[in-house]
Amino acid sequence: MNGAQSIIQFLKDKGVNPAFGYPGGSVIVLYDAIYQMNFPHILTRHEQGAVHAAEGYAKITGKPGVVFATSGPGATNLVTGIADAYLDSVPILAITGAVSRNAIGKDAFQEADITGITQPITKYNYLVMSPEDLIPTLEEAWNLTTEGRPGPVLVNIPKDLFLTEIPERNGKGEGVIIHRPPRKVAANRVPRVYEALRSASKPLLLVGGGVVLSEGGSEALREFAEITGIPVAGTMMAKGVIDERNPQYLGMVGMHGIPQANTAIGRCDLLLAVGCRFSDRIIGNPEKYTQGIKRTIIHVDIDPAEIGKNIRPDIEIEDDACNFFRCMIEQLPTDDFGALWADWKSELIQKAERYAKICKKLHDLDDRLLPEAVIHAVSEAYRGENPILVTDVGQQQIFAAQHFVVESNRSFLTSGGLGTMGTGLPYAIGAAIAAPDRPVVLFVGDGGLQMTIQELGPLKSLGLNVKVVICDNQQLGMVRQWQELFYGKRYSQTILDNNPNFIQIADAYGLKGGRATCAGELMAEIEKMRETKEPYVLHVMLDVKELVYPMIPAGKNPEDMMMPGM
Amino acid sequence: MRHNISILVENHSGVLARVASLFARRGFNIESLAVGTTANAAISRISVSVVADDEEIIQIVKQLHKLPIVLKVKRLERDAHFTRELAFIKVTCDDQTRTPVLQIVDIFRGHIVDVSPNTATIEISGDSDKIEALMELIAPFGILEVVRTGQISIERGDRVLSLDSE
Repeated sequence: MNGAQSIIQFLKDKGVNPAFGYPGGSVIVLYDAIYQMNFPHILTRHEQGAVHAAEGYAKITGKPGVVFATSGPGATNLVTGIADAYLDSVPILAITGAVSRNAIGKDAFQEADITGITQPITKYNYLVMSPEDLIPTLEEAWNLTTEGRPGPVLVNIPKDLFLTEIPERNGKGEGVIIHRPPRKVAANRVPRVYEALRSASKPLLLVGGGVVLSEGGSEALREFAEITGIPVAGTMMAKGVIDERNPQYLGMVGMHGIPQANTAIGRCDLLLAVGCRFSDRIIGNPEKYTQGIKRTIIHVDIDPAEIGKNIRPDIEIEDDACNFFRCMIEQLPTDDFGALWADWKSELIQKAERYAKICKKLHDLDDRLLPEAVIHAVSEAYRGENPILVTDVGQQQIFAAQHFVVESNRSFLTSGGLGTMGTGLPYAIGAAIAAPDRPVVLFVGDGGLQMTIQELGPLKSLGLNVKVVICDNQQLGMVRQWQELFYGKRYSQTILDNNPNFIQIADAYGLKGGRATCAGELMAEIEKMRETKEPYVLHVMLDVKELVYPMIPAGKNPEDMMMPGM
Repeated sequence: MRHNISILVENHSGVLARVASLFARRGFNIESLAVGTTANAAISRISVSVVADDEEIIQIVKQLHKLPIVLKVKRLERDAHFTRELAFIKVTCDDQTRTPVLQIVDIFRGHIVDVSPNTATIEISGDSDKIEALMELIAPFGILEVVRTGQISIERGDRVLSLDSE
């Protein structure tokens, strides 16, 4: 077999179905093998769409998303997606063609040093320079994407290797990489954790995206929370890891977290953080946070480098989230160690009830079409259908995180760490391919949609059950919000006043759709959207002035939360 | 505070670049860096001298461990290791000044490795303080060129940094 065929066979053996990508000169031999070997491949309309779709696929399944691109511009078009996967710990295997080995470094046609360019944003990357290294490198790269903390790995393959005969491998290749399994210290540290819980009167269990990724993490968390009765809050990346309607779940913390959750994180005297990396969206000012109230911080993470990076914990536990919760459950003390928590819990319940009243008003749909009400209406329409919620980035992302209810783990796809606009539509494509039996509901702003609007193409040709709800407020909403609050309303370059007619564009792509400019139209459109399994574009003309609340300004702490009405 | 870290890495092309770029993008402050093969030709050793406080150093070591090509990382304990570097110093030196220059070099236990009618090249090894002290004394004669290697460190006594050791 030549290099191209070996690669395709390798991916077939790994059960890759499908890969995503976009052809080009350096990978034409690879695409020839894809054709001849009938390898399942999804063609997007831009390499960025391909890598984001691979991310969407990986976020739903937990399996590596595989993406192909050609050399030069094809490879550089993957960079944003790779950086996105790096920050959100998404397993991605990116395979790029490169110029021939004898042309490397000579500014050849469509040459770009993608190995150098992606070095800081991959777990590791490779430039394959000999036929014998090809498959062993792929094997290693494949394993690395999901080992420990998942992430993107890039393999750059000079195009002459696609044509070269690859020697038959006897046994496994030699690893370049030393895999360091996590130290798994949870079992030993559990007694200290319970000791801390016993003397705390205001504990909080904060869960992050790491619990979503941990195999069995969601169930273990639910059991642990139930048995102990500890209040639970989550980062945005943890949405859905615990049932959102569970009364023990306080909701989302952070810059746009809800009051009861942010009160909990601001006033707790014990913070048990599992699978969360203390991003600056969560704790605005780590120094102030650790100097204020006297609190014990326990940090559980599979990546030892995250522990102590942003915040200094009192108890460090390098372990997988599921394993941690299991150890906690196994070593559950027999005494009532939560005896001191009663007042704290009722205080939080009261806060939650006050916020619920505010939400009820926000959810009241009228002709202003406030985003909270619109999103709530769509959420209610899909109640019980276990939808996958996808967002782009910006105000609609936060409103959706706050007001759309998901019903299982791995049901919320959003670009958290990198906050990449344009991810929404391709994520939704990847998700729909990964989970064809579930409805995929996408909220995307007029700004974000236009960053990857070309991906409406695959939506049509694949007939995916994706509902694109365009939250159109004719501006770059989130940036405009900051300009309004902190920059004296100087709306510099945030007014998108020349948007096209999105329904006409959808129609040009052969997609069904409709527009809603009032409550009646919205409800009718939602019904139409729900009834079909075909892709549907719903263009909602939102109230332009709505701001995202609550809000904790950058660098501030939970007590600085801005929330009208509370 | 200055810390000396020794890193055992796979001897592949580009390994040094990966380690250096890790330091750069995480904002760690490298004072000096030296690399060479070990007794095992497949393994290289990188000696890094970095200015950081105690918490930053823990983070640096952890980030290094995340690089797949890094085999082992050791932060060398203060007072339990010693550090040297090598320098060439070319000075202006004629018949009048050669004797005083030679005397100074002798005192520092360095060597003159090259001489011409109006220059002399000194080879000196030692810790950075010693090298700097020599340069200060030699400066009045006229330093033309200085080439330094960057510091390497090794632990005292029976402590060993290798793949098999603790």
